[in-house]
Amino acid sequence: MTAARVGIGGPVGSGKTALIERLLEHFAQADIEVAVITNDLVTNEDAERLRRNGQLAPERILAVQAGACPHTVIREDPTPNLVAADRLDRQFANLDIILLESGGDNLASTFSLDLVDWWMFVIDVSGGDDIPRKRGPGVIKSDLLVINKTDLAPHVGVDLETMFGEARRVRNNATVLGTNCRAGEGITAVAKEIRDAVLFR
Amino acid sequence: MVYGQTLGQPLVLSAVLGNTREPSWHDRAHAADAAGELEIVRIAPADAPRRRMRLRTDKNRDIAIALPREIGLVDGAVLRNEDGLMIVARIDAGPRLRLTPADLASALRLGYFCGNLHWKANFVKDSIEIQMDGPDRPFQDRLADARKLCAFTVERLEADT
Repeated sequence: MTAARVGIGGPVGSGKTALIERLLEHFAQADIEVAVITNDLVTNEDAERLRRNGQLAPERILAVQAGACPHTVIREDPTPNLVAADRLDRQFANLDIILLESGGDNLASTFSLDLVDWWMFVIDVSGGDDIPRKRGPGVIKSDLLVINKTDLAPHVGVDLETMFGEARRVRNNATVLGTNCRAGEGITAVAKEIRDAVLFR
Repeated sequence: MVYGQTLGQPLVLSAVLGNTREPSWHDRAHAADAAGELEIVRIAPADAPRRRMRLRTDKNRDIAIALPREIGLVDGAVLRNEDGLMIVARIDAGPRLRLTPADLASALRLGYFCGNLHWKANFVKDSIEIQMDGPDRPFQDRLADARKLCAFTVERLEADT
């Protein structure tokens, strides 16, 4: 089997790269072979951050530059990401999973299922507890919604119970998980969702 | 349980063996059904492009589809046929909206409008068919906006038409 492909989207600064860093720790402990494709506008910023961290061999981290709105290369024409993922598949025959991180985008951002098998959308509490209520397609259509930076709720006047309740309501009770990526909280539950959905173990 | 499936683990299906639209597979599916050995897995049209999925058959069997990248799922795909078990995928067309523009200018504007909304669209003769991957209301709200820009008719097509 070729590697599973999992998309990670969400607004700028919501914690997508931080979540990937935590997931890499989890997957390493579980002997799951991973590669990552990052997307940025006109730089390789996120790929360079991951390479600096040293959790993966540098050649397992590829960067795609969208050159325009990030959603264009994960939905309208995902060719650059498909080419990168195919290259990783050819280069690393034992890969279990490829994580594709979108560049930071707005709430309308979604992944083409021609590109990924499953995808999650990351928002954070400091964006405001009304974010789920705005019913952005990323919030509604993703396979998993992650609300990050839960530790900041009391500092930004967010009622977590209300925010999670509204998120579940607009998603018709599809899964919503909370994380605090800086402290590593909630990561195991996110990893379990991925493993159940596309790794089957 | 069948050979190849471990308790608590899904039955992994990693190939498309054929399609029940082909006469030979149609006959085999008919025979399997008569013998009580046919299971159907229903897949929403919006999910069909996925290469990996965790689903349950109509007999509540936990299955995991993991297809090669070059293989796409279509209605009637035979995913397993061994050890007294045939599994067939059913993907109906799903509800759609058929939009038919009144004239060339309306066609251009309508096409541009649908593209801006990132709607999944198929061109059928002189119409655009929009795949409805959610409730009607948001589609109707946006089409009300479009009516201010161009002239067109709307026909709702149900699943399996």
